[in-house]
Order: sequence, then structure tokens, then C-alpha cells
Amino acid sequence: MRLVALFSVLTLIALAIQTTAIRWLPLSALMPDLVLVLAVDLGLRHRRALAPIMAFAMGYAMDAFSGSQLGINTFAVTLTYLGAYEVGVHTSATGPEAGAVLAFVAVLVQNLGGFLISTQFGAPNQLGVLLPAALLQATVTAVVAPTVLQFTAAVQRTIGLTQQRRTRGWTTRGA
Amino acid sequence: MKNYFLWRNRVPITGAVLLLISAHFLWSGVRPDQRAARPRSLVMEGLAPVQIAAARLTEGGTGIIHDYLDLVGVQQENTRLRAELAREETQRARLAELEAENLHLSDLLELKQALALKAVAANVIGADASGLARTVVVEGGSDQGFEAGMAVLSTEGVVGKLIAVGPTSSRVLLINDHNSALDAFDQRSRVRGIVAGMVDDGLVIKYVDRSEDVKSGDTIVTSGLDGIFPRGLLVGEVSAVLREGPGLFLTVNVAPAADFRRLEQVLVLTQKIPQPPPAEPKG
Repeated sequence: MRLVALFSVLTLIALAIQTTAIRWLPLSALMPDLVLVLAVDLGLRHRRALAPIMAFAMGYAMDAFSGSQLGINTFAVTLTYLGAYEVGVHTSATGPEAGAVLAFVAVLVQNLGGFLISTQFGAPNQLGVLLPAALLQATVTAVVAPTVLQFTAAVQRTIGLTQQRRTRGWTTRGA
Repeated sequence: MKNYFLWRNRVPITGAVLLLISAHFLWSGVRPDQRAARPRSLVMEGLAPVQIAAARLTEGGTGIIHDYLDLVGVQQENTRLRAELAREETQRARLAELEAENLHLSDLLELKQALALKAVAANVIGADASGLARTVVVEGGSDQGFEAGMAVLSTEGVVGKLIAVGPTSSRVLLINDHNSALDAFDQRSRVRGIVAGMVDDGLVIKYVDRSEDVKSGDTIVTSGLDGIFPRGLLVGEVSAVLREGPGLFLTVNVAPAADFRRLEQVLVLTQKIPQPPPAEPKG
């Protein structure tokens, strides 16, 4: 339950920042995608069946504030969780640097894939126009990701939410 | 053995099932009034107080800075004059449209009715959560009579339409979103087309034949034929006409009249526009 409570609060904070602070920025692409960073955090650190359900709910919540089509962010955030989970299970890269790389890739996939899906693959020639903004947002997200991941790790330690490491299925709980 | 496999892979299996559900949302095109979309308005409502507070804070902070920088009130005067100029621009476009309507012997009464619709002012309290889509959240919802599909305007021109409505907050799909489309025409040459959003924040008019007379600087106004926007509202100005390249149609780029990044207050038309009677079959 602590996992659900913590990530619900963090998602609401991230959405509040993303939907209000964006108006102060000269370019919308300068706003990092904090919800995707939270999904990366969830994938790298939490290996229970509740975690992908939480990622799904986070994406659904993001859909309430983005785009006209339900499902794009739900799909992207769940996919990001699964990607981070697999990286965490099969490699030892679970630190903030790995999180930054995963967040970078996740933002690119979300922007470009989301555009293709929402246009029903009808305007692939506009991908080139979208790419600079997508790259900029991915870079900004990757830059802030380590700080966000360190912050969430500290919060999780404080409330006693243990991280689950390594092997798939039979989890071991670490500090 | 089977149970062991399921237990061992419970996380990726759960994730895969959830991915399939979200893919189902995507491909089935869930509408705002459907059950799967209802919790979305609850989330929107949950965050609305935070967004309203943040919007007030922004207004307050901006006001203090401006007042400090502008002791003699030049800023306020400038803002007032800009608003007046924007109103004059809209008025000018409407007057020009009326004149054009007379020339083309169209029904003036219909336009007068279209411009006398009920409308409710709403504050913009939030932007889109992602960098890709172009939507804003406004203060006001079904409690104020808002419904999905209603037109949203500003003093500068057409802004968009409501796509999700909660009791006290709603979401507006801006006309420069790549999923947005509205029926409009060139005020000078009367050429009709579909104005759609582009990924670079601009607008493009689709389905304009290569032989049509469209020039840079032409004013584009709504046609009223989409059943959402009243006829004659300012959409923007033609910024470029590209005649090169393959295809049957012209590429007509339009600079939107409304500045979507500076939207603070909008007008929601709460009354449906009167539809033209269906054409009677010939013979």
C-alpha cells in the first residue's frame, strides 16, 4: 500500500508541475516528462505485480491531461515500466545513470510513437519536424532524471519502502 | 510447473496484459462519454484545485514583477490597448465578412444569429502534460453548462473545442493540435478547406485544389459548416502557399490569430450553432 500511496502522490505532484510550470517556459519541449521518470524508478526498483498496475494507473492519469486520445500515455508509461524492469532484471544497471538513459529513450519513444499512433501512421513525413522538440525534451528529462531518482530513493528509504533487487520472480529485498 | 512459470513471470505477464488493455483503448478510440474514460474526469477534477492555485500564483507573481518594473501603470495601459486592438481586429474581420456575405447574396440573418450565441468566460488553469499534444485545462465544466464538442474562442480568434468535461474543469483541444480539424474558408477568394494543426504549432489548410486562388496574407475564417464554430470567426492569416511538389492539393500554411501560449481567458460557446437545413434532393 505504501507503494501505491507514494507513487499516487508523486504522480499528482509531477502532473501538477507539468501542467502548470509549462506555461512559464519559452518552449513546451523544455518541460521534462516527470511521470516517465517515475515509471523508470518503479521499473528499476520494484518487482512486484502491483508495480505494473501502478504504472498503468500513472499513464491513465497522464492521459487525463494530455492529448485527445485515451491510451497513448497509458501505453507509453506501462511500456516504460516494463523496459526498465527488464533492464533491472537482466543487468546490474539500476543506478541514476541507467535511469537517465532509460528516461531519454522513453521520452523519444513516447513522443514519436505517440505521434505516429495518434495520426494513424498518416503523417510520417512530419516526424522530422517533431524530432528536434522530442530530442530536446528527452535530453532535459535525462538531465533531471538522476536528481528525481535520488529524491524518490530518499523518500522511499524514509517511509521504509524497500527496494527489490535482481532475480526475476524470487525477489530479494535490499536497503 | 505451470504455476511456477506464472509466478516467476508474474510481473512481465501483468505488464503485458496491461499493455494489451491500453492498446485496446488506443485502437478502439474510446470516446469521452464512455465508461473507460470516466475516471479520467475524476483525475482532472482532483488536480483542478492545484492548477487553479498555481494559475492564481502565476498571475500574482507576474503582477508584482510587472508593477515593480512599471510604476506609472504603462503596462496596464499597454495591456488594455492590446486587448482593444485585438477586439478591433476581430471586429474588422467580422465586418469584412459581413460585407463579403452581402456581395455573395448569402443570408445575413443567419450570421447575426450565429454571432448572438450564449457564451461563458473561463480561466485557463493548465497546459498539456506532454510536449506533444496541444490542449489546455480551463476552469469551468458541466456545472456551467459545458459539454464536449463546444467551441472555445478568445478575443483574438478561434481557440479550439472542449474534448473532456468534468463538473468544475474541462480540457480544450487547441486548433493547432495535429488531431484537430475545422472547416474554414479564405475570406477574399471564398476557397474552402479543412484547417488542421501541425506538429510545429502552425496550421495548414488541407484539400485546396492547385488551381484555387489563395495568397499569402489572406484572412481565413470559419465556415460554420462543421457544426461547432459559428461562421465568420477569425482563424488566422495565410503565411505561405507552396505550389511546388507532387499531389493534387496546395500546401497552404496559416499563422493562427490566437496566441496559444499566452491564453489566460477564453470564451466557451454554450449554445449550439444553428445548422443549415439539409439540402433537398433534386427531382
